[in-house]
Amino acid sequence: MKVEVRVPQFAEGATKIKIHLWLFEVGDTVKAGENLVEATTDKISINIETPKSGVLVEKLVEEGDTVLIDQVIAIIADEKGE
Amino acid sequence: MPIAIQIIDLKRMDYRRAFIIQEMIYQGCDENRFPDAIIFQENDPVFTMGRSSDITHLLKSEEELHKLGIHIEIVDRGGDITYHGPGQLVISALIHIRTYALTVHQYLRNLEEIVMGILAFYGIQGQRIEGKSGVWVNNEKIAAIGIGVTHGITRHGIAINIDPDLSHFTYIVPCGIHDGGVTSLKKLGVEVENIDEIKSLFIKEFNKIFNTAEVEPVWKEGDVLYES
Repeated sequence: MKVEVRVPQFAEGATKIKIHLWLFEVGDTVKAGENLVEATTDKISINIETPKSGVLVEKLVEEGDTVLIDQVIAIIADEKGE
Repeated sequence: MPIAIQIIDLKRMDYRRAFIIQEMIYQGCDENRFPDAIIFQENDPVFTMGRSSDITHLLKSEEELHKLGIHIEIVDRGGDITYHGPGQLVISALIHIRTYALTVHQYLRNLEEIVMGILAFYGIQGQRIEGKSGVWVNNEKIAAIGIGVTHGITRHGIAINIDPDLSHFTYIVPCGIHDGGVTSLKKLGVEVENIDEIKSLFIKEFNKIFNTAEVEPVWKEGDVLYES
């Protein structure tokens, strides 16, 4: 099963949320709750965590990209890659 | 029902040591062993660089700063370079932001509102400036803001200039803003005899705005939370 990683709702109202740093590479195993990527605004740094354990199969945004609330930024799949 | 909050007063402490204590408390909050927390501290002179820092905003060499007794630390908050030192009250809040049904943006505005309430107590009108965070008086910044959110828990917060050595701010471009100076309560003619008065005002305003109530803190002065 595949799960989408989204920009959290609580980041709403923050102007220009930028992807600052990916903490994992595609193919890496990640655990639920682990910080996956760090996003920043001018005054706020937000760690976006992975919602389930599995493998990071796709990054949909790159470092430096501006993202929106609820935007899907990554895909996590089961260890089997399904 | 009000949300439990503990008040931890680190008083005057080296930034790095205070940061380690903040991390220990954060861990406790993250594992729901500790209630949310407000941490007060005054630091030895230090420049901290947030995630959006531009090194060109540091106007002195590391060597010159070393001679002046000012350290540099890289930190995991948003924002550009800033200064902390004696006479400035640094307030960090570690709260589960989802519990308060707040967005990070509202949260920052709430922190600014608390500081404006404190200034009003001293007869000073603080302002927000569109496009710039923090609290300003006559186009000079009196309180700087910067936070980080991990696992939905906030860290860092807001720093109020009471009576710091303002000359230290001239060694940087504070928060990367070129047009606008820095001010303090002292510069505005307010003599704060006891910094604890500001802490009490902050707690009172915080409890009002965030609907929190003080509980026994897990850390008290002299406690060791970690092995150094």
